[in-house]
Amino acid sequence: MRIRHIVWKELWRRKAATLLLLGGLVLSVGFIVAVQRVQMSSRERLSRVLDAMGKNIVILPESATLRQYLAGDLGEETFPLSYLGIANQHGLTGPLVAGQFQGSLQRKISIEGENVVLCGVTAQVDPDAPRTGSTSPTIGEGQAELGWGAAERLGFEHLREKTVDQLDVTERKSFELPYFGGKAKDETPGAGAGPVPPWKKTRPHTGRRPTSKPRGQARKVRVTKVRPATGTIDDFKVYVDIALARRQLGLEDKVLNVIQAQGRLASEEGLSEIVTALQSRFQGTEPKVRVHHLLNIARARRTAYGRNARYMTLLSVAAFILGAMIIGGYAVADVRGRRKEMGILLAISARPGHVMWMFVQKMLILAVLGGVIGCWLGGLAAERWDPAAVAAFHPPFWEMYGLALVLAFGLTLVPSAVGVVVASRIDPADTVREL
Amino acid sequence: MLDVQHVTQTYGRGRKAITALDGIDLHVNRGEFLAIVGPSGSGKTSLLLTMGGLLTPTSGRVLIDGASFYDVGGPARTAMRLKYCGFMFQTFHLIPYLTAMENVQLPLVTTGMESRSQRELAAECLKTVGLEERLDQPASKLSVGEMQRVALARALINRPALILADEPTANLDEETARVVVEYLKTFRNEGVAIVLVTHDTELGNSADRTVRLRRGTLVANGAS
Repeated sequence: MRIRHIVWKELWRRKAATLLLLGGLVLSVGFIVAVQRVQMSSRERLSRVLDAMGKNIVILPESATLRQYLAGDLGEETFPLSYLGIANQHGLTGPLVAGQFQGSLQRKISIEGENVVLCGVTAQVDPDAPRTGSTSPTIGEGQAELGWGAAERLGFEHLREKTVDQLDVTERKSFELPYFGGKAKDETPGAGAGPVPPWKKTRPHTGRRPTSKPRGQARKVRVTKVRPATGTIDDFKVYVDIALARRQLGLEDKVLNVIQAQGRLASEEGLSEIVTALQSRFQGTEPKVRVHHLLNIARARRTAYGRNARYMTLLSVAAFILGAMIIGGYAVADVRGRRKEMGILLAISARPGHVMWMFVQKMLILAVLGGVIGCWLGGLAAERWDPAAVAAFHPPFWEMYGLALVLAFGLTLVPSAVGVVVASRIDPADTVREL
Repeated sequence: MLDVQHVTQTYGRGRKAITALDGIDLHVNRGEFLAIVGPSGSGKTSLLLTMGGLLTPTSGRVLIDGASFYDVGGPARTAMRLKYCGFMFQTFHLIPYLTAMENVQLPLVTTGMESRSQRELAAECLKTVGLEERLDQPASKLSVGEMQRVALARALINRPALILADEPTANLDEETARVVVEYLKTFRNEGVAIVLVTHDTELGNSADRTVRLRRGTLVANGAS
């Protein structure tokens, strides 16, 4: 027979007390686990919302609201949230050359009655393909990548088989869909419409066209076409990551930065430089850029999340303290009630350490049982509490059960320390005298 | 084998101090049945506990086979107690939710002995006291006489050289008391020293030697 045998027998003999104590432990642990589970899931859901915002800054007219953008409430258009994150869908990592951004697709959307054209870049269909003009994807391939039928909707389906570079001026006109004043700009060279736009000119020494953005075109935000071997910030709009928002929420691991993929550091300073460059580009002209919407959203959500989290944490702490007080009281009462028993053990063979270990074993057994059952019930309670949040995120098995066991040990061993010390100080001579 | 040398036991301090034992000198030989008789409050239990290494005397020494009980630390004293002493108490002090066999095994719980060996020894001891049919009975379900016999078996399991019994028959009827005393005599015959504390003079007279204790002092020390 070992000491643990005595422990199990005692627990079994006093079933009512054991079940009561276990029940209290299960409730405390279960409540805290449920709260933590909901909090973790809410946090994860928040992170996913931020992910859904895209890995990039959306450049919108100032009057536009991000809510509309996120909600897809854009009149007839359904705005795919993945649009701006397309570059990341191919798992592009490492330094990117501008040549990987082959062609541009534009999409007309209407926000609060204002026409906006959002331009994005698509990566190559095969990011590992050699960087030659002949292998650049066709518009149809690029459109297929995005998968949202832009070609049909925007009326350039007939251009599906051509790459952007293969478009002639007329075709480019229909492709780029200028919306300013409802009329298309005639960009045919020599058409008398005025000087050749800068982006049509070819630089003599590089053979490539300059890529400065058209100015004065209200509400149009475009990604300048890029050529192979070029890729500076001035050449194309960079969809930068919302590293700042993520850092504020402590979700740095969620960052996937196009800038980073291009070999630049995703530092706050770097981000600020890019944002500043973008803002200065459009300063005084249309469109005005607004690059902090997502941060505002993130802040607002963080505030709500933080408020909720504080309330939840307070409840968890209260549950823990209450549970600890009850178990601590029980431990002391248990020792006092078993004084004679401890006394005879000390008299005939045991040392104080054996008696202490007996009580610690008892608490350990209750902690493990209470922790496991409490975690399971806490998970069920969390699913009832906030099904959407819980369904969105399943933490690792070991994380939740580990938390539950740590809580259970904390609820049993720490408060029962007083009882254990009292047990070790029992005087066998006093107890054996008792009748 | 047991030497009590000028042991004094005082409780409290100053004016409230009570001298329970006053300069007790006593020797117990191996295989001797000694009865300590005295009225309530005479210091019998204090003397017994002091002899068993459970109550540190205010002064004096207690030697068992030449080794002093109180010149060693707690763990060593516990080991000495386990090696040399078996205890019986007036109220048996069994653990009610353990069976008779499990109660008898209690002295061996901390020794590291294999469970199987413990059970065998416990069964043997219970058989010795005539309780072979009560092995798995919870202690709370035993009769008073059976409980005391279980306590006796528990005192024997570690093969002690000395059994210290504090009023072992106080709660027993005459017949059961006689049976218990007979068992003690049997073990005495096997070389175990028995020290029995009682207020019953008649019971004391059934021992090999009786000493009388009054107000912490030995007033008689002679053969029964």
